[in-house]
Amino acid sequence: MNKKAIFMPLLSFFVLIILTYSYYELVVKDVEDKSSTIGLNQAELVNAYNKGIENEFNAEKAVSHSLNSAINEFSKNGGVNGKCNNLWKFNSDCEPDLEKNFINVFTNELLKYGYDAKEIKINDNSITIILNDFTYKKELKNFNLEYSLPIAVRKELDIDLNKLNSLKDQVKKCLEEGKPLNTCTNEKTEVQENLMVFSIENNKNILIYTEKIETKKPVFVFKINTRDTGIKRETVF
Amino acid sequence: MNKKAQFETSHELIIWIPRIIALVIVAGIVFFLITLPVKQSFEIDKLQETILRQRFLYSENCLAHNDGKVNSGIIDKSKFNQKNLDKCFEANDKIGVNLNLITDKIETINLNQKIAEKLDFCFDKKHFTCTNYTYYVLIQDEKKLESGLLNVAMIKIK
Amino acid sequence: MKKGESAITFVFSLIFLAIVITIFYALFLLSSVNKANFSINQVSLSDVNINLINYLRTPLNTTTVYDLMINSYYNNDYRELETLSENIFNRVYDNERCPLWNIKGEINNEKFFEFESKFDARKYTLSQNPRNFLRIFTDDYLATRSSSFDIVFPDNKKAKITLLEGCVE
Repeated sequence: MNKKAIFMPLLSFFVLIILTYSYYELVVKDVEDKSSTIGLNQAELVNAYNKGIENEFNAEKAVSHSLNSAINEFSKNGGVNGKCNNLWKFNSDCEPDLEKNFINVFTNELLKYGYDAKEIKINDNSITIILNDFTYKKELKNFNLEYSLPIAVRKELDIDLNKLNSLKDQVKKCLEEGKPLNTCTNEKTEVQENLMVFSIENNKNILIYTEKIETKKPVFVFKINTRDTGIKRETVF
Repeated sequence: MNKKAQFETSHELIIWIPRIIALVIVAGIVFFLITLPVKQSFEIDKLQETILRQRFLYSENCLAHNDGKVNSGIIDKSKFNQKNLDKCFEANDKIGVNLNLITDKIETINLNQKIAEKLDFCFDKKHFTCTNYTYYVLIQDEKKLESGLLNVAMIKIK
Repeated sequence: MKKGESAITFVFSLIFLAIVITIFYALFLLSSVNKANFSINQVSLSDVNINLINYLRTPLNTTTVYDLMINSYYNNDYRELETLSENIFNRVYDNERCPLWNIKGEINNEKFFEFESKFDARKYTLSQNPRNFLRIFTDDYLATRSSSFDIVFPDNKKAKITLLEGCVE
């Protein structure tokens, strides 16, 4: 090849080198692209709100499902500990402290969903559950995000605790006054030897999910051993 | 200088002129190719409009319903009025907004009316940046909760 | 002879140069170094999120779509949920601007329902790169965005509900 013909081949060769290197630097190499951070902080901020919404939604649903299960369990056990076998005995471990016992059952059900309540209150047949705050933290370049959302759920109870408490008071008064139990209340009763069995059907439906959905009005059943009620009647001499 | 040398020098110069032209053309092409993947400007108007649009639904000072807690995505019907929305959007006088709340009827509110009126010119991408999105919303009207649509069209003059 | 050699070299160099420039033009054009758009898409994901959460919260007489979803799952009957979903999303995503929507539910990575708009994919390309030269052969390209919600089901099951939308950009 003569010297005069070297120009174009050389030019082609240099163009190839330059383009290959440029392609490598601009496209192939993982260059930290500052433009990708535009709007990322704002996106994270809104994402924090969205996570909060998701958490709040799930907390509310977990409470609903737990309440249904708790009402079912509570009614099945007659408002006392499962070991008591539906037997009410005052001033003992089988004390029918209905609100406290319901809260215990509900707390156990709620724990199955991974929620641990900070506070649970029952007032006028509605329940208020205060859960741990939802917190979301994100650390980005030049941007730290910390979001905290208090979660509280309030629901009407699908079991009439007021009615059950009223019934409990009537029964206790009867026992203290020594009156026959079947005269104290208008509720359905049944005598089984020395046991007086009370059955109260819930006025509202609840949903129970096992393999299928079951809609039912749980029946609240409790028994009182007339010979061992736990109530000490004062003897006047 | 002898005539032969003179002739050769001028001949060399003549040969170099097309080479220089070719070099300039090739350099220009190479420069164009290299700048192809490189973003030379960042158009953030659409990003700005998207973020401002979301404010309508996330902020209780705009449309978000508040019943002790702010329910993002649920619109408080009583907040869908000109006065409240003007106040919610008052910091942004360069963007025109057209809001349509669609239930069984359509309610329309314009913010920054003079700019919002130009929404029909959104085809002119050189002068306007426009965004348009329809949200599926829930509307709390006193005790009734119903579903509806909220269409938010925005326009910004470049 | 020398002149001929020079001419041949020139021509071949020119051809080689043209090929190199064409190849690199195609490579640079097809490269998706368009990261600035990424963050715009990130922000607009919240729009889909709002649609999804409202869908789940939609009131139906005394219940919500969420409850209907649970009932459908336990009864293994999704007809009502499908009709309702179509009614909602066909309203939200009008055919012209946003022709594509898809909603699906998964439990333990197993799909238990999926509904979609009637969408002709041949009219669109799903390329994210607006400078894709294939665009000249198609009408528009569709930008897709999706948002997912992990929701609690009874018996402590976890369901993932995903809404995807495709809008013309």
